[in-house]
Amino acid sequence: MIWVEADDLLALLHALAERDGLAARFDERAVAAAWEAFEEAEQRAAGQSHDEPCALFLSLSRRSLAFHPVARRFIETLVHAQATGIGYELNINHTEFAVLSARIALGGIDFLELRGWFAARLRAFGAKREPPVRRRLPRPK
Amino acid sequence: MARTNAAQKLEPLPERERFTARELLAIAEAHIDLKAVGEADRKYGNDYARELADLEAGNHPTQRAKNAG
Repeated sequence: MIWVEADDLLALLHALAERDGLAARFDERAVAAAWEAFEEAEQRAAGQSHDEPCALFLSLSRRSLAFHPVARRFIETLVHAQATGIGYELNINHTEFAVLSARIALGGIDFLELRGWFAARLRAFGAKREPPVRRRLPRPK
Repeated sequence: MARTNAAQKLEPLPERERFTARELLAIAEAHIDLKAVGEADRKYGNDYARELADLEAGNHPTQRAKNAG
């Protein structure tokens, strides 16, 4: 599991806010929320490194209030960092992330289902991209 | 920096991979459409924060409906 020091977490949050001219102020509560999410995600992934990006996304999303108003960008950044840290690239776009976040907030998705989502979208660096699946329409009878 | 009690328990393990803010920003720029996600944060962020606050307080409409039976 990744680790980010308090000063770096705060610098990232403020940098993301400043990019959009937001005057958001973050303090040790945001740091505590992120660190708790790291810890919880590590326990949830239970030593399976390829489950760590998914576990981290779940844990951070459940604490996203602490990162408002840059929660989406902050969480996606850390999840991509986690994937990078274990040698994978994560192919989830921001719309899919938003839908998953909403489902997490409303308790509409559990770790098992989320794990399936992530597993299908993690690709090892250097691995060939899968060709798109071509579906044929059934022939009329 | 003052830490909360919860945060005091958390210490980085030696095997954890550390990222700096600079590295994380580089990852954000490489992997995320920051403009699009920023737009979503702006458009829906406040609503989303309110929904989460309601959920945390047990005061979300879905929870109230469930409790009402």
